[in-house]
Amino acid sequence: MTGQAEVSKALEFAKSRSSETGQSDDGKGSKFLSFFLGEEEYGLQILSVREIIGLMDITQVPQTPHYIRGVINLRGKVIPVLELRTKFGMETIEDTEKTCIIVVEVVMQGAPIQMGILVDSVSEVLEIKASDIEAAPSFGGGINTDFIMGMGKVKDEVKILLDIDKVLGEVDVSGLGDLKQKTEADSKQTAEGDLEQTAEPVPA
Amino acid sequence: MSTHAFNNSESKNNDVSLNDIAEFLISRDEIGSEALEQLKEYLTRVLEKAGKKSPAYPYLEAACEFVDIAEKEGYENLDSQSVEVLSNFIECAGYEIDDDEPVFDSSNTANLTNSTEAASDIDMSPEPEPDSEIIESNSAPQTKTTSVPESPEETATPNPGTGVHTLPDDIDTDFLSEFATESEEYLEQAEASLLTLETDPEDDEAINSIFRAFHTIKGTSAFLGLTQITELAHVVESMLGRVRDGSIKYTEVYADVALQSIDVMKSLTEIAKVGSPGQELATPAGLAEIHERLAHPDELEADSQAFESGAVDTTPRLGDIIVAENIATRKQVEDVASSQAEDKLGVALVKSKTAKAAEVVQALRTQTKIAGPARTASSTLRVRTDRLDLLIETVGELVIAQSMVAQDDTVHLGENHKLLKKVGHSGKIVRELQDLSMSMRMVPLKATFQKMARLVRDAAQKSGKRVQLITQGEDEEIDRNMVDVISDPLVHMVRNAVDHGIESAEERSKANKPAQGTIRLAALRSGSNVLIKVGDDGAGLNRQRIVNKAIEKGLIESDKGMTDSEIFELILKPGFSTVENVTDLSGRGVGMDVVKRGIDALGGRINIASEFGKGTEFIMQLPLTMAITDGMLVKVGKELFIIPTININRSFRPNAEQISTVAGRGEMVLLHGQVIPVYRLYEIFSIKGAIENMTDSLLVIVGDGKNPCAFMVDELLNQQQVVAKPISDGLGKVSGVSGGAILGDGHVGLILDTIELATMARQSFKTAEIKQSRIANKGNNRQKPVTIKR
Amino acid sequence: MENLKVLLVDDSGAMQKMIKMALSKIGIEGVATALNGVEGMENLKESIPDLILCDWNMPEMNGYQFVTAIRADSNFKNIPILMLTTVNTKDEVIEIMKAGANDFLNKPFTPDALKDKIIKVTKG
Repeated sequence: MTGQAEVSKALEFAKSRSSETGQSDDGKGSKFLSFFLGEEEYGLQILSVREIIGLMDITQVPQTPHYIRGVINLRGKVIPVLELRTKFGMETIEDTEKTCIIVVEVVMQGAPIQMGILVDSVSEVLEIKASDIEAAPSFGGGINTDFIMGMGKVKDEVKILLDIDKVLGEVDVSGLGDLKQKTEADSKQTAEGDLEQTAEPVPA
Repeated sequence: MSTHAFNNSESKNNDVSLNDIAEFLISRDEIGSEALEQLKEYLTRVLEKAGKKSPAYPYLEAACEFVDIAEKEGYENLDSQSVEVLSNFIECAGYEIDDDEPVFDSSNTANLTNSTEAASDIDMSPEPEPDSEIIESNSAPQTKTTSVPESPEETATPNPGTGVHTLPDDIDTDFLSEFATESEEYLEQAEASLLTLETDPEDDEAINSIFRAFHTIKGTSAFLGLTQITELAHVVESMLGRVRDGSIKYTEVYADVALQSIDVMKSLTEIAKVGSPGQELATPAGLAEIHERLAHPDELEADSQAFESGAVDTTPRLGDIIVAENIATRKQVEDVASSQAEDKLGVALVKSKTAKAAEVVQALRTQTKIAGPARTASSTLRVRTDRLDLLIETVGELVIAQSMVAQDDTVHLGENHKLLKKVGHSGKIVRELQDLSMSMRMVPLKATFQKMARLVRDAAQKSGKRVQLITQGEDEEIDRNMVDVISDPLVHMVRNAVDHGIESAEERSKANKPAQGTIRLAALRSGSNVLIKVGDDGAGLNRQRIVNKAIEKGLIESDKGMTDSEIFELILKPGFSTVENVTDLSGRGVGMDVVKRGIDALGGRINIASEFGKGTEFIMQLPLTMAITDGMLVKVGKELFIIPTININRSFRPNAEQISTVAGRGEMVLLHGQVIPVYRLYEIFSIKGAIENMTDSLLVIVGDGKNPCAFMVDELLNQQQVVAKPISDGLGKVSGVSGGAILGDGHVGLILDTIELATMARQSFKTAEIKQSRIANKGNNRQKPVTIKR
Repeated sequence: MENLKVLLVDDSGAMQKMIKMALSKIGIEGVATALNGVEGMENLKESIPDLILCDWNMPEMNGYQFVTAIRADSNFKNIPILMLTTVNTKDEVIEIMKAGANDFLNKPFTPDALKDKIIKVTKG
């Protein structure tokens, strides 16, 4: 595991080398930014990653899904921050020194939007050959496999490669109410009792 | 014949040939000022000799002009590139005159130069090709169907819009249908561009795109022999060309003509598309009218200028104002006007004691105001709006960055007074810069109001009513970005006023009102807001009818205890419409809720005042700009929020006697005899560590006089201007929050949408009630606060 | 003349077809087409034509910009250019010639008129 600054540097280098396609030089593999949530290592295609920033003050926003930590000021722009642990139904932990925000840019409904993703720590920039990426196995509960692009093998380890559009897609594309039901359904198995506290809007 | 420079003695006696000019040009790389003079003289002579009918004329004319321009722009010399261009003109001209014998062949020069007969031969020499057909102003069009008049002044062909036109026998139907499809696309683009011009009459690309549409249609239709289309395209193109080169100013008069032209052109294309070769083509409605209007550009321009100065449509006569102001009845005014014809109406009115002098003066002032102040030319520079937006945004950031410096402990708490002073000074400059940059995006409401004048005219015509519009305060300025947004609600209100407000002439006379209805559109500034009023002297709102409808729609149970204005505001609810018969103009199921939503989106408010039988007035209160919000920074626990100042009525710390809990309605505070519901912001937002004891807290009263509610906060920090930024990108609509702003310390503060928040609070209160009763049933008495899970 | 390679630049598809037909009537078949100046420049990079026929009023990169760009490039500056347009005023004539076009021909035109102008600007 490397420090955030070094990963940032590696990320910049990788982005400059891999042009717009996110493909690596030989064209056979793709580059990923890997990060940790708990013990598990995940990967995001560097194509969608803009930058990595340290934890900063986050303004909570009411009436948003529970996995939205809030909004931050990114050089004068207000962008939302998504707590990936919560989104994946994992237990929340206290922020640490290593906690950081990966800023990604995705296109939603034709417009590019930036979002921050809160993760436990960033790890490194990896190159994974297409042949080393396997389809996602089905998990018994836990993470919704829709979010997973595939499983990347690096040496003896396996990284979970995320499909960022799917991870973020639900935030915007489906309406808020829709989303609540969905996440509730998702979390039913893992986190019971949450439901009771959720204040559903009552039709007037 | 000399092959070198013209020399004076020679030129005085002899005619000059093109060849001479050509040789003169190729013999040198640059032409000095003296030679330029000579060149000009000889070009002029050749031009005169060739005559307008010569196919070489356009080239020679252009060459003369070219030299003229060079001279006017003060070129000492013509450089080699210009010489090359000139040579090309001469070469082209020479080629047109006699294409068998190149102009550089000196054996031919004698023919061309020395005899006038030769010159007249030249005039007739070439085949009359379509491109070289130059029609003189008085001559009828040549027999070739494809001829296009050469210049706009020469379009005085009698009635080009009439006469029988047929589809050419040899027309290629594949081309025809391709042409039709393409033309439709071009015309659609042109329509879109016209709409752009409505808001930005100086958008060059939009003008260009409309011009291009007609230009292309003209060219293509000419090939196909669709004369009707070519003729129309030509005249419209000429008009647009003058707009494009700035020789006429684009106004609504031209916009109307362009719109009509597009419609007629569409019909023409449609007619041609379905025709078969040789078939006679129908003449669409409006074609002759368009030709008639475009055939007299001077009249059109006069209309346009009149329209712009507001003299034709927006300035009512003094008498009308007197009547509208209820100073005298129409009959009185008319009587005075007819009996005392020698005096001006104003004087006559005072003499006859129909009106007081002060009233007449006031009316005259109103009239002058409406007519608009004399135009003063101020020098302007056009700037792209996106750059302006960026400038304003950047200045906004600068304001924040500056206040971050000012609030830094080193400055703020430090001992260094000099530094504090310097920072303070820079802060002042930064705020001036902010005001200045904001003012750059402010535009007067005049254009918007003028659109309404047209709307009133059209709507009145359609509904067969007599309506006049009186506008006031059209010089008030608002943020350019707001113009588009207020336009829709305004259109809706004005249409409503004409359609449903003003009664028919018979109804009006029955009610002892003048046959002509009056709509007043007024704008006035109040602080950092602008008030826009739309009033009519029509039938007024019928309280009972609204109540019935509202009950029928389930909006209310009864009108018990509801004030008139509360009732009137029901018409702003979605789906509410009091008019049974849907008119073409403002029915269509879209009601006043559109207006309300538009105004809410701007952070404004709307009030309705109405007296049955007398009229209705809608009052919109809008912020001057959307970019910067005047806000009150409030603290709840550790969180900071911004409440727009426009929404705040007052704030106070309540004492225990003022607070009560009403069963089924929650906590209330008594203020000046009014019972106001209180919502605890920390509960709505589940914030920990906030003040929970109401007498220690501050209550902020929001909402207008009728539906106030109080939000409980820990304290008010300060009032400040904030740059509103959207937070919903990627989040969807966040209820209760209208945006985010970067605060002095770099944090993001949420700007509260108090209206939505109040609705939310009411709902969550109900939820809490239900939950409480459920909990109570289980035998658990612990009061559970409403929590919204995050 | 029959072997001339022509680049035709016009934003109207219908107009392109009609001009191509006119060209075909005078025996010219080798015609490449582009919808505006930008496309035209792309085309030039691939192969250099013997003649460019070009509309004046086009979106993206108009005739003026296109001709100026061609004349500014040493590879293309000698290609004959004939503007096919509708010229109303002498200012327009000047503009066209100043940009560096060899001549112009007003739409609509007959195939013969086109042939005549082509012979003139290509000097063949």
